[in-house]
Amino acid sequence: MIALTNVSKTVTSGSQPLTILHPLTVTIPAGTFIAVVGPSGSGKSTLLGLIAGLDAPTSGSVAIDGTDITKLDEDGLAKLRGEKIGFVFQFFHLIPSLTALENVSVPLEIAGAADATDRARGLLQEVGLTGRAHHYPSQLSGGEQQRVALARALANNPPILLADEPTGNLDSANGRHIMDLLQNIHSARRTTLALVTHDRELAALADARLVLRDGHVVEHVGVDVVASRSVAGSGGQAVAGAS
Amino acid sequence: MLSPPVKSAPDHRPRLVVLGDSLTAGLGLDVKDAYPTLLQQKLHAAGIDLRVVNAGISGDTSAGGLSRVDLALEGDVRLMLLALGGNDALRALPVEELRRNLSTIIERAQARGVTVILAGMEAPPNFGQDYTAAFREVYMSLAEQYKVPFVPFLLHGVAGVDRLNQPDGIHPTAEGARVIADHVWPIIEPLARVATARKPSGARGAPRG
Amino acid sequence: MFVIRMAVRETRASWRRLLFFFICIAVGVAAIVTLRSVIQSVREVFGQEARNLVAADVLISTTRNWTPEARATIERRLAAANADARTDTVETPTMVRPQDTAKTKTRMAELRAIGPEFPLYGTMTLEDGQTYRHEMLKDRGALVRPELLTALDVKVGDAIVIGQLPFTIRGVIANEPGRRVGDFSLGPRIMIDIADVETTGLLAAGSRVRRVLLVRVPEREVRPLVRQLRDDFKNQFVNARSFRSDDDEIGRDFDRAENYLSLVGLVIVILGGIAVSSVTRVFVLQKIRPIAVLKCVGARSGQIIAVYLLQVLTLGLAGSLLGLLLARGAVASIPYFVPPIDTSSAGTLLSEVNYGVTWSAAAQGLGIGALVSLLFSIVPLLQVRFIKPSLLLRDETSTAGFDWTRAVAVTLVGAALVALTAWQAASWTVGLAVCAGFAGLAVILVFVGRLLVSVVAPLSNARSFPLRHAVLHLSRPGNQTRVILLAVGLGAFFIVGVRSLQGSLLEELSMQMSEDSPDMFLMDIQREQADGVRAFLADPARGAGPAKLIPVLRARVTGVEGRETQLESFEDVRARGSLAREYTVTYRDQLEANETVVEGRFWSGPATEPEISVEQDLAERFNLNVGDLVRFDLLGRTIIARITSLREVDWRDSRAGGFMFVFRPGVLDQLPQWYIAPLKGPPDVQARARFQHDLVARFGNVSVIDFRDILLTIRDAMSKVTLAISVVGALVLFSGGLILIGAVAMTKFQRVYEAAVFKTLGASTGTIARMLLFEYGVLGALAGLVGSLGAVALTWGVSRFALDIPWRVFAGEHLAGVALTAILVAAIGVLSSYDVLRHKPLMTLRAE
Repeated sequence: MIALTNVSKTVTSGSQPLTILHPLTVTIPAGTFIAVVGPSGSGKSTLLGLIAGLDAPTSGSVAIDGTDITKLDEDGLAKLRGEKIGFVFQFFHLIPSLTALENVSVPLEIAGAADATDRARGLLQEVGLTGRAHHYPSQLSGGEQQRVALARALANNPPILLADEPTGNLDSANGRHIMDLLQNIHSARRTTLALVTHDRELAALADARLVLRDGHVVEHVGVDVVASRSVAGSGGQAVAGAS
Repeated sequence: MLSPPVKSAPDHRPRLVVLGDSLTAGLGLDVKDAYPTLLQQKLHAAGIDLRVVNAGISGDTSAGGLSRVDLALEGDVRLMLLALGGNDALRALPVEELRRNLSTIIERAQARGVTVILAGMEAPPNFGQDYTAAFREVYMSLAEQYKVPFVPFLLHGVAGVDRLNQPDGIHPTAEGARVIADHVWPIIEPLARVATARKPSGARGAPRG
Repeated sequence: MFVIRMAVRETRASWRRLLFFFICIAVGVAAIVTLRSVIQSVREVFGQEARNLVAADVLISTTRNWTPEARATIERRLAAANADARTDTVETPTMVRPQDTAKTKTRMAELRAIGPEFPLYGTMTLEDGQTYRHEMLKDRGALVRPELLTALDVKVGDAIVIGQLPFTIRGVIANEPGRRVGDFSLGPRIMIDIADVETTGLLAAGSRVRRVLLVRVPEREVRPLVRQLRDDFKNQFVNARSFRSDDDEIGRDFDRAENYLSLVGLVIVILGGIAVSSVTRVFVLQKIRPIAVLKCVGARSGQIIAVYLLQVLTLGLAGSLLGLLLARGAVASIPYFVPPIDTSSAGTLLSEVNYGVTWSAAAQGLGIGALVSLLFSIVPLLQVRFIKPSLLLRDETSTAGFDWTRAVAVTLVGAALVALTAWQAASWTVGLAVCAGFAGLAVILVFVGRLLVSVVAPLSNARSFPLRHAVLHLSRPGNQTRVILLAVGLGAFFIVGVRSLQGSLLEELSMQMSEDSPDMFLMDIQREQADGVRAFLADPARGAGPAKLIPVLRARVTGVEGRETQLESFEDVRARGSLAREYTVTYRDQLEANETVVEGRFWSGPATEPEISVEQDLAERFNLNVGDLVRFDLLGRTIIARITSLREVDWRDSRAGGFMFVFRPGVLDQLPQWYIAPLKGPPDVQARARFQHDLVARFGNVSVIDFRDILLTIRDAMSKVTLAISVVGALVLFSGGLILIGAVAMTKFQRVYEAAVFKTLGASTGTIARMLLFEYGVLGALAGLVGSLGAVALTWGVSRFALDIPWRVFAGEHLAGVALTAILVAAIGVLSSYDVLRHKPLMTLRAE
């Protein structure tokens, strides 16, 4: 279960403080497939980063399975990510110096798995890339790279899978392939899947939906949200303490 | 103030010059422990007003002594203890050269009216009997020839006695120097008394060098 | 597991990019190993030679008879020191003559009685192809030096009388181990059996005999044994010494050379370290995204740092191993470059130097290579901690406040470097000085960088596009100005510094190796013999070099009246220790080549008032100043002389003799004196023997000290050391150049992108090239200038405090250093951006 309580994010750009995400309280039950939708700059990637502990919120707390991750230090966060969270990026972010197989085995090795390579091979098979195991990222197509990234995200069998515009950099055929894989994984493993996208069509596949604009939740389906609902800065009934 | 500056304030006392080498200079010793200083003390104790001039130079041979005898004899010199030859012996220089140098020194001193006392040296036995015998003979014959008072061996009772010698086995210790002074004193004393009773010698101002 | 696997993969992937790193370490390690091996090999052989010269590890000698107690003590100590061989010898000078009484010659000779075990080291070689066996000495046999045959007019097979007994000459000695080289010698050597010496009757009471026990002990026992024995026989007539005299000039030269070489080796490694540091920095910059990914999938900062440290260590070790191979090659090739020196007599003593890499040098090289790799990469690697995985989501640069960990790391690394420097230079002072100089220069360079930016700022309005942009580049925040200034400045500093020191040291060594330096010394020339000796020496048939007779007198200081020192009586002087000793003084009207007046004025012309010039160190030691009065006792005369100047004497070039006190002519001229004469004797061995024989025959009381053999040995060793220094100098130049190239080329990663952007905006290749030329040229010239000035300070400090040699400035080196640095940096700056200049900009932009 993912529980965000009064979470906000403000960054200082130049001398002007800029609130990327306004205070938000939301609970995502385990096993939910939730889509986070919104245009560029709406704060959806930031939200994902906060859940993964890649970023620290300016206020509020983020709890993963009851653990407040804002209280963890960098190394604690790294451990948490290794165990509980798989991440898929828009730009794949494979390590260029490693082969596909090695990219997948890295999280297993970090976690100390003895059979890292075998399991990585199994994961590659799962995403249909058995024949590409010893290729380097530069030798793979975008779709293949994203499948490797997906395999990597699944390596430690995390209960939570976060995907940041996973199809945003792919053609539609490859994009569909990735979405099929994500959906299969979600249903097969009962993984909590949070998908950031600006594609309403993709979002429609999800159990729940969270629509953001300029850091505010403007719409939510299938999840309980306590937040400033106002559109375009109309103030509104903020439940959270901060505004 | 340091005194005296060169060529001024001369000591007018009559002198006993000891012309020698490192044994006289007191190599490895305090100058006050060298035997000429001890002789000075004995003279003083005996009430004889004679100034002892230590003209010992370490490493000097009879040839070196000859080259500086005139200078050493400047002033009112009454007595000269000639104690050279040790370095000639250590280097086994030809005995004829030793004889020639010593005899010239004696002649120059006598020409100035200085009473010469000759102290003999021995060559070490390792040079072989031929050499040591010839070396000894030089002193005996010179003493005979110039009728000078003679100390047959300056280091009598000191040479070869470990405790009286410094580690090099050549130079006497302070105690060794006392033995030398005691050994020489009986010959010096009467001559010193006679010499101080005399008028200043007339051979002053001879050309130097 | 993860760390190791990851390190292996990263190494596999990026070894090409880190090749430069690898080469820097390899060159540094090669330099260290080469120079250490060479100096150790030469030293080893020289030590062997020193053993051969004394024929033993330890000599225990006495001028008395051995007492049973002394022998018992010695036996006990030898047993404790595991002495595995010993032999007694007896030495005494004696008169010898032919047994044939028709020949009336006699000659002083140095008799040495030896046992069957002699020599413990080295071999005795005989003339006419005879091989030495101790049996030759049985039944009153003798081996003699050729000079004796000439002097006595005898030949092999004839009998000579030693003491009371006849001995048969069985052979002629060509080379004899255990001869006391450079010692005062009374005559040619005769060797007899120790069993016969007692019967000669020469060893009576009062004999001048030296009894020597030669001992062979394991190397590590040599020093402790000597110290122990000296302690045992502190107040007795027993003396112990090892085969190497610690305080001789050769030892100092070796120390000097080794210290210098260690410092240079260290410099190379530090240069390598700077390169390592800049490589690592760029490497981390390039690895930002993969590192963020690793963090994203659960890797801790510590693990990631460990991965790269392991990688660095692996590369460092691999580089060190390559360095070892390079060193092996370099060392093995040395014999092809060393021409055999002076094949006559002792010149070939060192021909058997076995050039190989020594174990200790190899171990040190490996250790230092790995250590420096680690030390210089750890600080840049700490940057890993600040890489935030969130940058995978959006572009952001992390800014960190003051980083305590980094500060601690910098401190620790600094301390480790100081320790390393001190270790290599074998001195804490030098280690601290070098590191302080290093740090000081770095601070200056950073400061100069800032200054430069503000100075050139007005030029940003220049009309020339390349110039304007070059200036803008220099002054833009976050650019490479500081990095280049630092790396290039330090590089130039070291290269110029090392080359100047090398010049200085080589000049120093060549002065001592000079062919004209005297190898013979005449003593006790009497005044009336002076003209005769002069004529003898000037006779071209004798083959001696030009000689000057120096008048000397003996004097004692009996009082001082000065500003700082007041010594009324001789007792007061004695309380000052060595001031009371008997000094050999001279008088002359000019300074010698090895002297400089440091205070006061040196006189010209004679004067009747006594004046003296005092050697500087002595003056310092006893607080004597210009204007002070010193009272001397010269042959019983008192002379009070005023100090009118202080002289610095370069004791290493003391061919004119070094004097503590020099008098102004006019006062001592007529006092009894004698002469000494340093000179270069005839080079040919036969002519030399004849020369000495004739000289002593004509001037019986003149002593000759011949130290040609020892001089040749030193020269041979020094030429090898000189070669090592030159080789190392070349290595510094090479590695320094490499590192300069690397440091500049590293900034290319930042330049490439900008250049590409300029190109897309329409700048021509030529314009960009000129822009780069300006920018790098200014940086290079400035870095070169600061480095070069720093090098002046370095040479001063090192010359004075580490090497103990006079300071020399080589202006040419420094100017060339500045010019070459500027040219090199500009050229590399342009050339390293060559691909940008040539290729289509889009490729670069896309790759970025």
